[in-house]
Amino acid sequence: INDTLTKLLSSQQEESNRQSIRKSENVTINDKILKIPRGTRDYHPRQMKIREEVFCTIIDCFKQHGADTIDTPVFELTTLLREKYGENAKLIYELQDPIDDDGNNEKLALRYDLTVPFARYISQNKISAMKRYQIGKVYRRDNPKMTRGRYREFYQCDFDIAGCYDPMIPDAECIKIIVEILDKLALGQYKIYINHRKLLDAMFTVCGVPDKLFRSLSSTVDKLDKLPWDVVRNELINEKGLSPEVVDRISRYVHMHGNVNLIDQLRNDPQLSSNKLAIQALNDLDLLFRYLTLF
Amino acid sequence: MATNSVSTTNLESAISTGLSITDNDLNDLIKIQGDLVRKLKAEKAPAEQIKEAVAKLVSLKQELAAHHLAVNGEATTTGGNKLLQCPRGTRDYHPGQMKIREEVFRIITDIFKQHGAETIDTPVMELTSLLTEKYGEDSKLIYELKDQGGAEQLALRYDLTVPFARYLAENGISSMKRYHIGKVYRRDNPKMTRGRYREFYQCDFDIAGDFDVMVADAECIKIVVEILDKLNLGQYQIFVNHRKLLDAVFAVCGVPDSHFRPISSAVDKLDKTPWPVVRNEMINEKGLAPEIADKIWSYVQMHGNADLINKLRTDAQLMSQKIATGALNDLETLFRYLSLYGVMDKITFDLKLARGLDYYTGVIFEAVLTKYQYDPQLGEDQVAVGSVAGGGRYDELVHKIDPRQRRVPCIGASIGVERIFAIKEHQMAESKIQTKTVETEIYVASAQKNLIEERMKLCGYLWANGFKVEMALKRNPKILDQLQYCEKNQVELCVIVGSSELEAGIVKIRVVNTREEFEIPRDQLAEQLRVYLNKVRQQLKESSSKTNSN
Repeated sequence: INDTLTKLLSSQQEESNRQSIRKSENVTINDKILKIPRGTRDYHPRQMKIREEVFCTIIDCFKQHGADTIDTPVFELTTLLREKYGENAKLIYELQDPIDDDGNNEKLALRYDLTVPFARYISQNKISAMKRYQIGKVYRRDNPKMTRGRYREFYQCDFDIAGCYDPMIPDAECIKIIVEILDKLALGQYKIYINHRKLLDAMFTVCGVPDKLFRSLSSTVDKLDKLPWDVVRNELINEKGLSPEVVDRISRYVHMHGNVNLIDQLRNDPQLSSNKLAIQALNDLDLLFRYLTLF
Repeated sequence: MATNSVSTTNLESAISTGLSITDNDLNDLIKIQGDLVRKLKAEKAPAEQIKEAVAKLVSLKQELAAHHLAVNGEATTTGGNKLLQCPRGTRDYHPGQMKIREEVFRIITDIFKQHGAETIDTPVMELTSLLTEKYGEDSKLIYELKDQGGAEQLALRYDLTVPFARYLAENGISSMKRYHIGKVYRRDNPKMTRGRYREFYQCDFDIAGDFDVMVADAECIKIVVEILDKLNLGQYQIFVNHRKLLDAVFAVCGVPDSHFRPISSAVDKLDKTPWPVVRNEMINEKGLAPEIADKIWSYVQMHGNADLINKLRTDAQLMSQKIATGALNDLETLFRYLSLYGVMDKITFDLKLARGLDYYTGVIFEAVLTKYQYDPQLGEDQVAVGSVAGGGRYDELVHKIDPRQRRVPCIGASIGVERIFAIKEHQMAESKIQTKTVETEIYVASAQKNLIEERMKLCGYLWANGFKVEMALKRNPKILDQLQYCEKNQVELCVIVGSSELEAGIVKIRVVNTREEFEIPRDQLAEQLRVYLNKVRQQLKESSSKTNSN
């Protein structure tokens, strides 16, 4: 009996392997299409098990730091989501809006992230301080790049500290939490890159960039983690209309990286040293790094 | 940040440590803040400081106004700000509610797992073409997404059953025992007191596959009993019927075939609507002859236990319908199995149970809490939550969806958790027990200034040792505020850092609920904290079991 059992199990295993290869075909017979919406996917039992464990690890860490959790609806009033996501607003999924029996006619859209709902939650409930985590799916109608694990419906695990506290203390705790989580998840070696929006703005100013281009430049500079400098340089000059001299000045700054010593280096930088935003940002970062050392 | 004088202690502490403020606190805080503003102005304090104090006063007053509105049951939008609300029929889950939810889900999934079920998850939206023609009259309640230029027409899922059928068909699965917990979307009129929303959770358990008659069906119902028992919701009854028996009854009464589904959904309302109203609907809205309606009533008012099966078998007219014989045999087998499972005392065979959804083909069932059952005699403001679980057999759904037209019979149960949440919240409010939502067990505090670095180091050390730790996110917090936070949030222990203790290599532990303090050598901190935590938890358990037995 045991021999038969072993043989049966191994042939079943083969069959299920064949099945998982087969499943990626879209079945179309008699004009009936059986598929899942583009950019979404089912979680099979094995994937659910992994997911449960990962969430468990992450949530334990959030709880260790004293966070509450909330949940918000999957859709929000479209007016809430409009004008929060800049260029990305076109990626929001909107719902049709028939009129209710009592004449109520709400325009709704699927949430794009968990942050704007959180902001609504604390405003709506007049909360002035909260440490919360939220795990939920969010929706973005962009081109799903399947190989890079990017979907139109996907989970986000957010941790936020809202409230008026002393500078850099909550910031340090946030980063500390990420470290704890990445360590516990045993994903291998990792690095956390840090910068400061005000420092970036200061850099742009001393390089001669007009104020109104700051945000759009930021998104171009942001691509440097995936694209070589030449390509980015090109975009800055040709698409965003900057002069080559300005771009080269930017280049000198954005290629800088290091540890806490970089702060003093920047403090002594002739152009930055007189910029108020830069000084503020560098002080913030100095304090942050001090706290991160203690943590 | 301006550090104001002692009179603002409550205000500052409340805000900086995230306490939620109630009406009484608010009135006090407004008075205190008002006094502060007057004081600052009299002392000609810096303009910035006065401005800040005034802003706090204004926001406190706004909060009081909002609190009154909330308490009086009106919408929480103040100042005409329509942005700040959830979409109609939806709601946020606050931390206290999340805790209840987590507990309920845990109990339910433990039982699902005990029965050997796997779990899956599916997207919140499906192709509209998948969802149409699955829900009969209810199809108009489906939330559709706008056509934004993509090739696909999408809609939000209406339940977890059709997605499951799609999952089975798409993956060529012929048998599976699965549970699925997720939110579903129905655009109907939310009746809030009955715990009904437009976005709500469903907890589904389904057995798909060609198995022997009634075995899987019995297990499904058994699971519902186990869950409802464990959840401690009070007495309940599970009503059972069979779709084919209903069809036989309709045939015998002379209902035209085309009217089966609409008459079925009318019969389904009998658990909430008195017969005269339903009769009216059948005659005037659905075009049925009065004699037929009355004959239907003679059947559907019947209910009882397994004996009713034999009674129905004596009805010659009914027995002339072959599907009736089959249905009664099924039910007999089912009740036999349910006796073996020891749950027949919870079961009532009830001919008026119809279940709204179109895709049921066999056994159907619904669980109703006796305490919260809708009574047609009482008024509209009764607290009734309808059914808390329901389900049935649906053998043709996969076949209908699958292009290859494979047939996979299924039986499933859905637990109405939203209603259960409402009841649990009700129970908690009645018991007046204050539960903590945040799980912090140790709070790192300092009585003196300039010890933030020491506190941070200690936090890092304690987190590394697996403790749940918090500290005030201020450089120089006041000791009273910190201790108040601990007491209000039921944090078990407070570790107090002081410069003289540090030099001596000592740390102070304060047991929050007794307010006793002990000195511990710094190098034994982790182990000692574990010891004290155990002690405190032991004491709490003992004292709570004492109060329970009182």
